[in-house]
Amino acid sequence: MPQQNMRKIRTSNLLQRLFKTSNLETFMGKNEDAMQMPSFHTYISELCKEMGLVPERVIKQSSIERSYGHQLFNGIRKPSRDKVIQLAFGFGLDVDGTQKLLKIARKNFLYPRIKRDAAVLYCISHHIGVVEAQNMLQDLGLTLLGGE
Amino acid sequence: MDKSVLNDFLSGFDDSRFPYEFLKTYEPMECLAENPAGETLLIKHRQTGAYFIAKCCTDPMLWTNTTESRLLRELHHDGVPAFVEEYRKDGMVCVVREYAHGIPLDKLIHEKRLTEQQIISVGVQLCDILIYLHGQSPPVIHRDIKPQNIIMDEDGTVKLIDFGISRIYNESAQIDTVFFGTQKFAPPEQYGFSQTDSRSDIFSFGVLLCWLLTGETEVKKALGKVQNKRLAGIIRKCTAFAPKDRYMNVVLVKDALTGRTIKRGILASLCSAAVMAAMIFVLSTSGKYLSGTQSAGITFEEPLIEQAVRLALSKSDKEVILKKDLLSLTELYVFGDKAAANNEMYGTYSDDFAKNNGNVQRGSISSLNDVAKFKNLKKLLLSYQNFSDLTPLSELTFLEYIELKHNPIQDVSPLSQLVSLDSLFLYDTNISDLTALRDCSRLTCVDVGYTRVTSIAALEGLDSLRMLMIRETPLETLDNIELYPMLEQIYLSRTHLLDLSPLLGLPRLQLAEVSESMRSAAEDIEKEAGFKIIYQE
Repeated sequence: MPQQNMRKIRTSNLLQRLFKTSNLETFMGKNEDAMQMPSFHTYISELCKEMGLVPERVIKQSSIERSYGHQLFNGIRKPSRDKVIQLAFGFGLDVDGTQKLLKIARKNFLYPRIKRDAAVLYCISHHIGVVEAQNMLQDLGLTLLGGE
Repeated sequence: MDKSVLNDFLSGFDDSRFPYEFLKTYEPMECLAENPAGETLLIKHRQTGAYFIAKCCTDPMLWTNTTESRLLRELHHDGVPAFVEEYRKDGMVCVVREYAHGIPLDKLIHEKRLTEQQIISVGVQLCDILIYLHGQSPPVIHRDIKPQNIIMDEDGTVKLIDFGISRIYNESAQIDTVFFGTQKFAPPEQYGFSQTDSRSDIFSFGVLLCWLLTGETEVKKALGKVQNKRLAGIIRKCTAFAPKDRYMNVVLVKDALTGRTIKRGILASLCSAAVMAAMIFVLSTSGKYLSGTQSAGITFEEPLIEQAVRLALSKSDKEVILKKDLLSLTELYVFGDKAAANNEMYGTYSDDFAKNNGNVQRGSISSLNDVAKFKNLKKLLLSYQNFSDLTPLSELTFLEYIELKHNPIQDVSPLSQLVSLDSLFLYDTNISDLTALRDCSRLTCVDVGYTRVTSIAALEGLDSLRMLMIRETPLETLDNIELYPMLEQIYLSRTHLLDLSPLLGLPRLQLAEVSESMRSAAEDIEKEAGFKIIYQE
């Protein structure tokens, strides 16, 4: 399980670290040559190989509808930002891995100073799965992932 | 969910910096940009689910100058997102504006490469927006024209966003004291050499054009890569170091982009001669005209047009209509003797007319002089009237959709400069020729049914046509129809056509409508046709 390799970060530390960064773009090295980035579907397929996962499993763990998920892996569809976040849950990525996935999908980073993104960051950093994350968003009165 | 987890999360999170009412009304969804002065957020209305943009500014120095809110309140243009609301709290101001659907050009360019024609279209649209901004009194200078601030939707329509560093041009100020803007796109004077004026936006426009064509912002280096010499010349002139060497205004940039510089030059000489003559006349007859006061309200020549304007602006008969009110007028509807508030109401009258139930009589409009005052008009539907002269429409460059059915119109040449025009409906008019519209490069939909059009040659130059309605005309041949390869739909019922085979030469055709009486001609091509044929009585 990829989660087992993850370092547990206390939320307050994580949020503080992110708050202190005055510019998220600098934090994530967004200024790297954007033209060199792989396409999203290539990247997630490679990621599967690297992590020893199969798309079917990632899609299931993401709570993404099966055929839609395969279309994301085939490059037939382009994901919304929420779908990218769901895939990050499916891969069991850590915060940096999730932000990188968003960057490759050309979506905005998770931003810890707004509640919905902060809740997602909390869940990711605490290895909370997508279903529980949805519960948390619901309890906080926030839009669920995929409900954007 | 376990309460302790929720509490743990909430103990580490704080968004109390936002105004309470703001958070009560909207849910922040994404951060689009952030810097020490504040954040730009994508927000969702909690009740309606609609998306908006909020600019939340925390820098008190910028508050006093917060121009964005003030500017957006005053501006009414489809290319500029509308102001919605402002929320304040100690330490923060949140300005909510309309969300421009689409993708910023800097991101779009990674997904698809724009053709030269699309780039020119972006340029022309941007010129229209800048003409509007610079035409304000006093002029509004955007000062941050760059790909990130231009949003293009699926139809190719662009909007200009981020008025955070815009300023109203102050003639008395000598220099800009603070440097804003994005380095690669900013003109030299924005570094503090002199005050920025409309020519500063022209500089950035030039860099943008260069970037769209070459992907580079260093104009001197990149110019060699611009194959179209005319466009290279425009970029060079826009980005001249000294403002005096640039185009004087955006109208001239637009003219250069659309290739109308020469025509306008001739027109300008004629106009200036006419203006001089008029001035001499006024001065020699009476000085009182020069000191005359501005009229308090707009007066109309045509009562039906006034009625339609009042409906569109929701103004009662007693309310005065001011010149500035007309800036927000983008659509106007009259069918026969009925003014309508919207497309739906217009459609009802149009249906009544078609049923011939006597409910709709011919309208009384014989002149379009009133319409010339509606500078931001995009959609004009004036059917079943008495006017024939379209000259008053010639300067309404934002017009996209024109429907003038059942009018005694003969000449469309006054519409020849309407670069935004995409749909033109002239059913039951006296038109015989549309070749004057060859420069209307966005014109894709034309209805010339029941007119004097007798051959396809009447459409020469309208290369972008996708939908053509040419029903009930004395058309006998489809020769040269292959010159319109973009055609997707063609309506040919009640014509005199006997041979439909030229339609097979249209690669994109999806639908052809013919009369029942043309069935045998249609059946001759049916097997080979990759498009659908439908029959009308």
